[in-house]
Amino acid sequence: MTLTTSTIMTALRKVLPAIACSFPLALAMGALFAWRNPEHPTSVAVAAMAVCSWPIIATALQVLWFDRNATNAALESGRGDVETAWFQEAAATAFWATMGGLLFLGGIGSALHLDWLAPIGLAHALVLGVGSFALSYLWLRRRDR
Amino acid sequence: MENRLAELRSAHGLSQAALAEVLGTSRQTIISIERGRFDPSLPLAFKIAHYFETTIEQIFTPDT
Repeated sequence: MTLTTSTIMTALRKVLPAIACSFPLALAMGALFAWRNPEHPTSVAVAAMAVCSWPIIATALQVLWFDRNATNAALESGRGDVETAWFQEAAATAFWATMGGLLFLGGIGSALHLDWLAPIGLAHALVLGVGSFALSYLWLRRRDR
Repeated sequence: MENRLAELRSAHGLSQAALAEVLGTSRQTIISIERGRFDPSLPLAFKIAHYFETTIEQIFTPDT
């Protein structure tokens, strides 16, 4: 399917409520982080934490709250398209890659006393999870074409 | 699982995109089923069988 502007706009409209609702929550996360880490400049700590946690909170809200009916409807209708199968397989791969990757990098970091590698930060987990999901999905798509 | 989807589709003069639209699925799904890379869900298998006015067993057969 060609990803047109209208498709993007439709998709964006669908997630707008989650994006909007998650913003104050992300700011609250930023404030909490700044409060617990007074050694960092407050505004930078709030902004950095808010920016990092916003997409995660938005995704969680979309999946757990706003998209719940759609998800249930999709499950009940037994959606049988191959894209759903790719998505599920890629999600499983990303989960295991993230878990395994975190353990591996954390172990290496601890063993070699690399502070920047262990403990693993949120950004590492996010990049690993999203990256492995994207690569896995693209590989499956290419394989089945 | 082996299937006769490509054969039935050709016999009905349908393109993969047209069949996908009729069945309410994606063209990629039809391609993957025809190539034997993807086994359809039971609801989709029933839809296919219903559309071609036959039974699931007449279209899909387990690998021997």
